[in-house]
Amino acid sequence: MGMDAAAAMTAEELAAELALMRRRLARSESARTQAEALLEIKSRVLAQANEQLKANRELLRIELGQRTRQLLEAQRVAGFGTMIWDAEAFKGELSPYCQALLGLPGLAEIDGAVSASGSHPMLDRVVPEERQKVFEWSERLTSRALELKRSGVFSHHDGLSQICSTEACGSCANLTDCDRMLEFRIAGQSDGEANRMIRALAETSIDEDLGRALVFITVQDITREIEAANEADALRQRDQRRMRELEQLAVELRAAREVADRANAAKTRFLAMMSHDIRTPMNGVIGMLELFDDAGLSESQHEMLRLMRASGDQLRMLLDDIIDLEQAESGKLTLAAFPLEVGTFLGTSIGFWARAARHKGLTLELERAAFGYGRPMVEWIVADRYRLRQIIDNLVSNAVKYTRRGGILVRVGPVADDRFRFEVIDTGIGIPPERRAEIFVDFGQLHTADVQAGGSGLGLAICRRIVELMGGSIGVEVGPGGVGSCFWVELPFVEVDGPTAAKQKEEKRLRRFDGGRLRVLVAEDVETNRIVARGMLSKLGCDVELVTNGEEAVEAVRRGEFDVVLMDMSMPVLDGPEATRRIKAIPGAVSRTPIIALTAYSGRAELAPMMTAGAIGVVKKPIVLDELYRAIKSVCR
Amino acid sequence: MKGVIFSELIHWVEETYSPGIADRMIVQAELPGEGSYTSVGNYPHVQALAMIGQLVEITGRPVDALADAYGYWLSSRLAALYPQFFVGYTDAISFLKAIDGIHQKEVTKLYPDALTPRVIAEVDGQDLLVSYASHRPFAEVAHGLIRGYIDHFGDDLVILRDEQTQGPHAARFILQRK
Repeated sequence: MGMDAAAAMTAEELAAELALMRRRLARSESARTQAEALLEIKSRVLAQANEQLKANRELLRIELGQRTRQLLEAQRVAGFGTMIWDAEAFKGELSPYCQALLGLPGLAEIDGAVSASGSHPMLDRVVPEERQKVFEWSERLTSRALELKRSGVFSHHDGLSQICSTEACGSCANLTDCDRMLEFRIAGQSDGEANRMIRALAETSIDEDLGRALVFITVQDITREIEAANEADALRQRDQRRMRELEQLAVELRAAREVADRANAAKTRFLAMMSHDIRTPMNGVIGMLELFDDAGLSESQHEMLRLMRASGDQLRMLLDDIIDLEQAESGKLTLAAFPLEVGTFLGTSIGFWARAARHKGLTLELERAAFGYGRPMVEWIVADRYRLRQIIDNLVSNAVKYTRRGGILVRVGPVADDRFRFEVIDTGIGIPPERRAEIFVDFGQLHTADVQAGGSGLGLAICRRIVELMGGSIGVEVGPGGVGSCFWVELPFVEVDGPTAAKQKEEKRLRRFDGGRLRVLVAEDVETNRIVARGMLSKLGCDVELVTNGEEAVEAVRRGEFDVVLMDMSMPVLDGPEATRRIKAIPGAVSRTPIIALTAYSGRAELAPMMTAGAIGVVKKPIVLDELYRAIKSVCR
Repeated sequence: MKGVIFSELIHWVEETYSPGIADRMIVQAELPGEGSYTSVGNYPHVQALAMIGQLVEITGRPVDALADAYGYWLSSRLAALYPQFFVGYTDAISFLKAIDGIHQKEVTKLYPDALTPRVIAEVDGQDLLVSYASHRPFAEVAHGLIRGYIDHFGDDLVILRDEQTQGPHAARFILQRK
């Protein structure tokens, strides 16, 4: 405000102007005070923030120290050392473990320059013959890192620019796979210590913050790894060698086994063939012995005759066993399935041995047992009568054979709805536990005791084969009270209804066997056999007519009524099976004449043509009087 | 609200009208601090509303016209007081586009307790749409500020109001080339 204006103002106006000026001044001062106060507060806040910053920096320093120590410890534990090589400064930093690995203690920093004499602390540690390789590698890495920085082809989200992967980029100066890794040897760190193998892995990169071209290198002592790999390789080679030897051995063993198997099969076949061929003359010898009239002989002649007959029996059983075994081994052992009345069958089977037992002063009893199963044994089952009888005969005859005092008990009963058991318990010498498994194996281990006792030693082995074929099991335990033996067999069975009324009627027609004379037709081409058959049948009280081939047999049956026909299998003109078929085809009652096969074979396969043609029984040659009787009786029952 | 808005409001009234009118405005508004404001302080925005209310009484001019005129004047003051915010911008559009993403963040760094209005600028074809939203009813001040920035950069733009967003708390301005 100018002086003139001020002069023009009234006193009130001046006073008002002054008051306004004062208020403005007061406001300015107040604002300044506020600003100063705020400045004071801000300064304090700033000072506190500064302190906090210092504290945080210290914490970070401590944490960084800890992390660094942890990292270095981790390197030590993992067996890795690290080196960071600055390509521009041509200097590197070595981690403590890297120093230890390379044998450069205390050398935390290393210069790339090689002295005029060609010496360099790190290269000097490398074995002389590999120094050039390591030197060239480090040169390549340095120039790659520098190229990388110059190319500027890097940009990485984490700030640490890294070269792209080897496959992906061809434009930048990246490392090839073989340049990433180098393995070299360094000298041992003390006298006498062997060289160590070092593996180095490198990666070039750019630190954008520092603007440096760097090479990160990890080093690892792989001496043990290489040694282990070499050892593993040696072991693998040794194993492969052994494997080849084993394979060769296996091939040889297989070949040897095949040879042995072939030899064994040939042996068995040979034995079977021999057995068959021996049977025919044996039939003559044994048959004649059976027919030999022993009246009027002296006691010593009686004894000689008895021994001859016993020897004949033994020879016949041996032949049977060998043929059975051959059947079993060649898988030709098959089973027939016919209805069988359990009670009668067992009574007859066991009863057969009663005389032998009585002769030795032994008891022989048959007992129906429950075996803890609630129901009684069924009466009619489907079974192979011949094979079942073979098992029972074997077990009971053994029991009689090996028992001197006491007796034999046969127990039979069901153990399930479809399974029955029979036990043959004796009070004999017993079988030591260690021999119990062995007695069921065949041929390889002939049972000397059995052989000495007059058997083939094959009986139980054959029983086991038959039982297994039937789907059952067989075994032996010590007898009750620790005395003797208990042979047991468990077999599956199928229950059936009894035979039809017609069949029973037919059988009734043949009951004359016991009452009157039976008329028997024998068809047999070998004269000796015909004579034996006639002699034995006559001894059994039969009227006999002989024919020499199948054709004659058919005519004979057609001509007159015979009660039974004994039909040899192998005959000239017309063989047994064909003759049987023709007889069965004759109209009228004669076709129902029971036909018993007469054969030197005992195998099912060989018998099959006869059984299929209509034969209902078998008599094996050499003919034994008892067996002939049983066979005729069973079809005429 | 930042003290600079209050101190510059008084400054503007003193310059535009007179120190006496500014004094009357302050006295009649019966302010708690009796009208003493420092630009680095913070004060309730109702005190600014009270002062503008009194200025309407004293001058007889509409409140919107006064708020717009103050905004226009404030833009040149902010350019003078805080030149660093204007460095690197050659036109109003790029400057306005940077308000939400850059300037407001800078303000918050300096004054962590500042409650800044939301100002979003979007390009729509040839136009720039600037949205203003605030809990304070200063949409007209924002209009004046935009007008001031256009003149500051010497741009040839005209400001239209989106009629659907009329109101003191929110507004949308359409900046078109003339």
